[in-house]
Amino acid sequence: MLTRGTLLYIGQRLVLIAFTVVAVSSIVFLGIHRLPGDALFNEHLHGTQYELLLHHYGLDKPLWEQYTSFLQGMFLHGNLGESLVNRGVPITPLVLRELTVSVEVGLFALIFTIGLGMLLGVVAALRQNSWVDYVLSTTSVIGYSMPSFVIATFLILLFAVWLDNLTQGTFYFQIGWTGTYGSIGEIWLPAFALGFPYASIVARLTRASMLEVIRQDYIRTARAKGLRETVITIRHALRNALIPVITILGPLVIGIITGGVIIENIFGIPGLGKEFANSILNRDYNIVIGVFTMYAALVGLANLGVDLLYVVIDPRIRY
Amino acid sequence: MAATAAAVVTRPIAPEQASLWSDAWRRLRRNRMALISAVYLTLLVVVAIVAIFKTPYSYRAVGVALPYSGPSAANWLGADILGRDVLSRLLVGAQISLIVGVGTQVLVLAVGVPIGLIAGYYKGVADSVVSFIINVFYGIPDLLVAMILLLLLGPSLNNIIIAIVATRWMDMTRLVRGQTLALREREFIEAARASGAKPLKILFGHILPNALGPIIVQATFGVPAAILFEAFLSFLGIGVQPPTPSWGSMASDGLAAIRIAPHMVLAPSIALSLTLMAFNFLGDGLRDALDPRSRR
Amino acid sequence: MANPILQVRDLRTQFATEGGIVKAVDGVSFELYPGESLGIVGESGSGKSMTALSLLRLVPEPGRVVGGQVLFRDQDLLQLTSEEIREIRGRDIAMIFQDPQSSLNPVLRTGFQVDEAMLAHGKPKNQARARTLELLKKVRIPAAESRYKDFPHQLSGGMRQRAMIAMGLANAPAILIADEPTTALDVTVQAQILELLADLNRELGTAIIMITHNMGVVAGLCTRVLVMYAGEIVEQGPVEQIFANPQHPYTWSLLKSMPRVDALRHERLRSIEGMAPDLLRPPSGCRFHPRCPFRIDKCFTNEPQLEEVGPGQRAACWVTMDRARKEMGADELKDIRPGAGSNVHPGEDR
Repeated sequence: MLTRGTLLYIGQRLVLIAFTVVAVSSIVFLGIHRLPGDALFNEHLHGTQYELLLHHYGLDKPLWEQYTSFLQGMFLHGNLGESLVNRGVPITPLVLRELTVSVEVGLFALIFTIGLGMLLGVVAALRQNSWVDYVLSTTSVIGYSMPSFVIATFLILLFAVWLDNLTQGTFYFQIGWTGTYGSIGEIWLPAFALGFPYASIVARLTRASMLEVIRQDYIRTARAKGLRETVITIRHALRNALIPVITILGPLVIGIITGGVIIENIFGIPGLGKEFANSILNRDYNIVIGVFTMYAALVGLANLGVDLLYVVIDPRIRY
Repeated sequence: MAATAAAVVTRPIAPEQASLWSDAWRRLRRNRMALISAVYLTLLVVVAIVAIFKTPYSYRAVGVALPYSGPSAANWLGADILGRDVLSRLLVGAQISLIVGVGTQVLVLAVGVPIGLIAGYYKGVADSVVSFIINVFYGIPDLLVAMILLLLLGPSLNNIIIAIVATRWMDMTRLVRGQTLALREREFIEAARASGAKPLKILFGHILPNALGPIIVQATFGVPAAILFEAFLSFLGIGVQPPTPSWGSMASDGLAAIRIAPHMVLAPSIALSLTLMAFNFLGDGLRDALDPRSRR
Repeated sequence: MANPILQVRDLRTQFATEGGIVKAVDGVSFELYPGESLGIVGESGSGKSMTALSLLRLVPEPGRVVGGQVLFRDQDLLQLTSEEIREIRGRDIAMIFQDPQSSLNPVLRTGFQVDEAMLAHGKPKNQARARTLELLKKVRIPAAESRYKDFPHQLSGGMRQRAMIAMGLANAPAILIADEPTTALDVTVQAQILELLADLNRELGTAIIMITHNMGVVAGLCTRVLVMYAGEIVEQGPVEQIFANPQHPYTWSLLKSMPRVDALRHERLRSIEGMAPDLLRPPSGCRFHPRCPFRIDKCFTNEPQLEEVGPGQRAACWVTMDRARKEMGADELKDIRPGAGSNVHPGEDR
């Protein structure tokens, strides 16, 4: 699978991603530093204390110097600076830790998006025009019309509040992150809320592409060979039906990454999204820049991953 | 817009157009979900307009009921953390959602239609540049960029609309470009060109009217996308600022009180979901009606 | 002759469409003997492919086999459960199709797709693979080991059809149904594939049912031929006899419009004049009468049945070519355009 051409392609893409990261972080850096007032103006500090802090963050230097030292720090030392709100907290290790949490939640969400979406799509296609198909088609519209935070709300009501009330406090699911997967409220519920709206889209697409695929000649060939229907569906039809689904996987992954901003806030998950929203609310500009840089890299790598998936699924594609 | 509308009536259009619209209307009327959605959305618009002049209570009047109190005869949807009437706030929130939804689509049309027409009609360098920019924008995470934009511009209703347009203009542009590319090769466009019609006249008099169907469908789907976007931003606290209510910020407030006052989060969540659903069903219905081939 | 290996009796396949019921196969009966090579010829829409698909119950939706019997080894294939017919497919009766480009799954390795034909019938993986390599060599695919790992898009059209044939032969079936196996291929490749099929038929004793619209293919490969028109068999018999002395005007037109010098060079039959019949509303009487140059009054109202017209040769026609020739003289017949529907029986015409 990994031919020379593919490796070369990956290399080129990685260089491109690096450029994008620089470009994105530069735009955000310069944009933010052109805002009126400086990054510390919320704190109402005076005199030498203020001067000292300005100097500590290098904010007393000209913008050009700040920018070059930011780039140097990022590339030479992987250093994204220090939080403006929580003094002395270096951003890089913080963001990296949060990144792993976000990726974890995102991958669980992808299980719902792809797994559930394809399952429902295949069932709808195999039972075309039956009541199952009709119900699934309608729920699909409802599914992608429900914002993830609304789904999250209902999940919390159902699993935490109502279940608690119903059993008078003897049985319910704890919402909130402990890092131990102690309760489904920790990762499964947020992942479901994050992944389900996109699962509806995947289901629709899978249904359409399955209906297209099962009319193909090679399905008839497979049947003429004497293969079992389950083998035909899974090995012959589904593999081919996957190909159009992958084309929308890129936008879906971006959707899940951005959707995480809200879901992490609701479920108290200490990921990049929660940090990003908080840093914008707190005007902790250094963290805004750091997190956004991390996002740019994440989105670039996710898109690269999706493009490489093509090669695995469709042997006709070579880079 | 008025000039374009007039153009539709007076200029010759492709022969199949006239019957297309009446056929589409006939098909749309048979689609039950789309019809119900259209009725719901009409009601929503009426209610939102009425709410400009009259709501049960002022949306910002504090203490009209006990904080967190549930639905009652006086406050149909209960009260929030400051004892404000949830129904009144929901109605004002509907205004915000509709303004954002329709406002962004108007701007998206104003941006996407001319750019798409030019890229599709002139092809070459113009098209390459436009296509490249579109692809770059598709690669960026829209919500995150909108958040940064709002940080830079400052949160206000106008800036929210600008931020959404800046991150979501590509769908319409790409659609118009594609339609134009296809239409410019058709005989009646060739005929118009041969008879010496000016490019502007061809673009807005001949091509645009014939691409109107898909554009309407795209705009219909664009409205809920924008409403959802605003709800997201307001939910995070960087959209519409208090005391102006938005369904997103109301849901966010309500979520904090979900154990003691679930009506606070349920009311805006259900209103938002129903509205998005209605737009999506209507969009589906319009697409099926305007393009019979896409039906199953 | 030995007992037939396959007996088809009064097979009927119909499609329920919005416009009504299309009788794609309408009362077809024939026998297939062990080791023989039987051609089924006709224009597109004559029901020849649907006949073949009906045998293995592979008719696509909304088609349905509504009547008749397909007797194979004392059992009626139409009465089997779906699991029982699955076991027959590919093991006892195999089928290969027209377009090897679309008939092979693009995302699976070619060799594996041949393996599958054996895996489906319980052969262990390593044995299947060894046999696949053997088969790929037998169908004359060079460098079989590396071709095994190739995906279909990496093979040429001819190679793909060879792989399809290998797949068909995998379980040494008693019958191989070939549905226009050469139509999508280049002329030279067509000849190679036909030669290959002929060799395999001779060497392995596999009975072949060859579905084609090309009389030249029949001439090159088959011993017996069925001619189908509008869902029915209109003439059948030994190939040499039919070629030398066709009795149904449709067969005569097919042969007359066949390019003489090199049958394979011209892909499609030079089409016979007149429209192919609308199967939703088939013509009354003899279904060929609107296009028949020799029709008489009876043809408009009464449907002819297959009757003995020579040793082993049967035709369904009120006139038959012998009589047409007798009445009109051989010279005049040469000038008649096949299928023109002209009135050569002025006295008898309405």
